[in-house]
Amino acid sequence: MGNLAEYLMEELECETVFKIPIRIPQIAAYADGIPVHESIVVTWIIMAVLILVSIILTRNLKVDHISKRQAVAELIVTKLTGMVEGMIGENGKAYVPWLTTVLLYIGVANAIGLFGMKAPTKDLNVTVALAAMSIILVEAAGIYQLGVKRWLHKFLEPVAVVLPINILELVTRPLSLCMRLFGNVLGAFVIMELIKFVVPVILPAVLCCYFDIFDGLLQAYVFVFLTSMYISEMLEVEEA
Amino acid sequence: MLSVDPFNLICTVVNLLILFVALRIFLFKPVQKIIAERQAQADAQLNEAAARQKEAESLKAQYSSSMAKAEEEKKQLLNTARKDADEQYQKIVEEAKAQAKQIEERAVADAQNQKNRILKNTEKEIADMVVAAAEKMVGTQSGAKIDRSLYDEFLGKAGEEQ
Repeated sequence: MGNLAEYLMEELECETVFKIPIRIPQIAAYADGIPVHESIVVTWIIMAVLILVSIILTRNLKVDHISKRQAVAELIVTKLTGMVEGMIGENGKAYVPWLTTVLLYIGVANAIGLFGMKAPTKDLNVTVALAAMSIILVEAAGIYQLGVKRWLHKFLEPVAVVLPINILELVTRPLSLCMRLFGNVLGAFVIMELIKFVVPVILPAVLCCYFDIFDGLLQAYVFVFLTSMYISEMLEVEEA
Repeated sequence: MLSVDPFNLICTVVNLLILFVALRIFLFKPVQKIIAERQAQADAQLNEAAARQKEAESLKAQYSSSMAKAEEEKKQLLNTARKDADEQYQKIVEEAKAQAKQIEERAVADAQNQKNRILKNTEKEIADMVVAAAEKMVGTQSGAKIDRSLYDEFLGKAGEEQ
């Protein structure tokens, strides 16, 4: 069993693909050059694929007599943006492209295990970055839509007593977003490794479909859903 | 595994922002633009169709109103023609009646004149015959002239009494 634990730890470790040869002796981690994690490289691959696919799909667009390629592009864009719009509501239309990008990225990142790569979302850095950007977007949306004064006043709503809880939410919301995603992907990964260790054939293929595709896409959806819910919550006050 | 590395964190943020901008440029913008264009085209076509229908309806109304007008005109023309014809007919009939009456009167007068003349002639002839007969009987010419005047007088009186 010692072998398994060692193997698991090794698999869970975020590998450093290469190091940028800039030595910063003041910081211990960067003393030997700046490490670039596998998740970053895989993210680059995902970005390249997504951008390439979208360029190919949106080439030579026409208003009528559209090609199948264009039909696919339109279907993807309208379905995804429609889904996000349904979550965030009419007011938050400006945030739909960002949320759709996040949805696409997390969805592809979670499913990339199918292609033998490690999901970037298994790296805490990625989920922390995603969650931080989400909460910044939520608060920025609040400041932009409500103005600083009303945004600050929102911490006192619905009653002044909840102020500490509202401030705490600034931390707990991104923390929960980040840890939910990270935990799910990590948990799925660990279970998959264990199953592969015990039953090496057939069963992993079946469960891989569940963990990589279903759970992966579900987590992408949940992440975007919660973010858009926070944003629409922020914007709703304006109407009242 | 659970360590957070600032460089990789920032890398991810930058990656996501680049991905966002790239997808916006290469996926969302063009597709949404084309969909908006299609929407605009469809709207334009619908508007055009509505305008055409309106035009067609107005033309139809115009047509039917002009048809009604024509019908009215036709009726009016027929009426006036009928009235005119009627008047003409009445006039002609009256004229004919008047003429007939005139002819009749003239005929009656002619007949009266003829009758009078025939009567006069007959009287004269009878008188002559009587005179001739009397002359023959009397045999004298001078006495006969007196007798003739006497007969004339007698016959004139007889005519008055009649």
